[in-house]
Amino acid sequence: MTEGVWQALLVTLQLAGVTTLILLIIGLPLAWWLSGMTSRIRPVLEALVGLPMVLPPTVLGFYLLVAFSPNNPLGQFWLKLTGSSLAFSFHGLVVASVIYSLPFVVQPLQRAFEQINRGLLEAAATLGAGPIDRFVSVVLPQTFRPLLLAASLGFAHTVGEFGVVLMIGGNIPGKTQVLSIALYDAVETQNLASAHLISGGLIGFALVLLTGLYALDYGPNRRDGR
Amino acid sequence: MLTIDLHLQRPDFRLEVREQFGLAGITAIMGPSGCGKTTLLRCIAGLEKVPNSVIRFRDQIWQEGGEFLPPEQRRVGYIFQDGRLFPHLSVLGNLQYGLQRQRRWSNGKRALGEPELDEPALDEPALDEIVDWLGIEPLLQRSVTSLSGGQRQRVAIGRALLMAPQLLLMDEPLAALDWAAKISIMPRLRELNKRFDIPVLVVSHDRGEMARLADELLLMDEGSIVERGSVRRLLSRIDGSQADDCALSVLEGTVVRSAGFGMTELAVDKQQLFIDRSALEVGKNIRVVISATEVSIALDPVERTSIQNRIQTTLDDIRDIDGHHSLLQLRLEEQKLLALITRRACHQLGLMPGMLVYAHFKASSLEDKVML
Repeated sequence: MTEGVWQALLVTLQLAGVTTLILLIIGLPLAWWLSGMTSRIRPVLEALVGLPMVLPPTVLGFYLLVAFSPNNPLGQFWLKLTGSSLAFSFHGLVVASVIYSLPFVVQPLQRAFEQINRGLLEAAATLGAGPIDRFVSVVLPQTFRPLLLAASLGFAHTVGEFGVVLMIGGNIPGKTQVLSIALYDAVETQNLASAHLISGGLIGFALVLLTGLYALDYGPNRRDGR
Repeated sequence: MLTIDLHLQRPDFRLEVREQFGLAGITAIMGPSGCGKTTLLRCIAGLEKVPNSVIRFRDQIWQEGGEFLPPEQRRVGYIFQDGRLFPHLSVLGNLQYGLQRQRRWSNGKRALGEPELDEPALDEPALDEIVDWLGIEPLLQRSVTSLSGGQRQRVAIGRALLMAPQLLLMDEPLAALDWAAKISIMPRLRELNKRFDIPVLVVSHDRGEMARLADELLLMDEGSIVERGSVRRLLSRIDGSQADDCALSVLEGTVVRSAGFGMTELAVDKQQLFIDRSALEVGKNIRVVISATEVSIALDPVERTSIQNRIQTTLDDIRDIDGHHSLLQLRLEEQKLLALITRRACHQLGLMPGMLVYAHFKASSLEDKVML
């Protein structure tokens, strides 16, 4: 049975890793765009990004399940593209996790970007730096910690998800069975040893990660001026 | 040549500038806060985009019709009031920022998001020269957060110069500095224009600073340019907007000889003028800024007085300033000098335009003498 736990751990780590990577790729420009936005639709967009924070995960899972169905455009498109269904697949889980964890990455990044002195970007522009150059050479170096925080939160939140996975991922060991589902299974089948292993492990992981983050945020070599 | 045709109309703000700048020397744009001078500067740099405007620099079109050259391609150095140094970089890192991008530009590779630089060592002479000139060598490895206001502004000037700008824009470069820092930076700003042969446009609200710095002066009010001319002419005019109880005048003279006791004799319109500064090269041109309140009037030549400067002038015009004071415009030969005296004194002396009067002012009241 512990072999199942290791399998679930592997799936979980893969899922969280891929999700975090995609979230950074989407989240960085999205957060930057939102942070500089003055349009009146900004609150609407922020609400959309933040929605997964307040909705029961099962609601999200339900709609994703509907969207993944081959009767719907998204499901159809995916089926045509890959020949397999999105629902009950690892890819489907990645899509769901990206949406589910999006606010945890975008929000800290957006807060950090809002703190950036836009005047510095103007200075960089007059010194010959184009828009991407300005972002890489002025914004990113000043938001290194928030970036790490955002990535860690995205990762940890994906590891901790349950409801969405349950709705759309099914419970296929080695494919879509993640730790939280494996734990549920273990308890259902009275396998308390596995349940303890998973639960204890997850608590340990979360504790180490959060301690690391807080240490980073309040460490002695915290940069001046912030 | 810089050609500007800007029209901006907002409910609370208007900018209407149609002007050509010859761009020889230092051009100052002066005016009360909110008159649009900073916006004008930002438009020239490309930091602000006003539709339906035209900005041309030499043979380059910076804005016209649908064309808009972004700031990073204009090669305009911009000195901000607050320095705007990058806090995550050292002083050296800040200095190199524009230099590196400039080099990539001249290598024909546009900087597009690759922060890693593949070029060899820095252009050491240029960097060294500017670091040396600004006297910031000891600061190079320091964090910019630990610098004083004057040091920050020097680094900002160096950073802008190192990107080899075709035009240098300065927005209140001295406003955030204390007096000592101003005194140390001002000659450098003047020298910069000559030494690096870069035209300078500087925005300020402080006429004392501009009297010392600028050659040409543009006075702005409520979004348009109301007066334009040489600093000497515009500031020393009695009927201009600058004629008030803070009026000052600018005299230009040539060093004649050392007068001993640490003094130097100048010739200003063939008359003697003494300044309390020594070791000046004979034949050099010097600009002297004299506050109108420092000048007193005598009808007869007074010989036995401590006041060093007694210049014979013709009284051109008298203007009441605030009910208590009169502003006098005095003409030497060609240059003009303003004196602020009380109306009572004006009455007692029976001053009338056309009279011959002696303008007295102490050599030590000339707190600032700028080399030209």
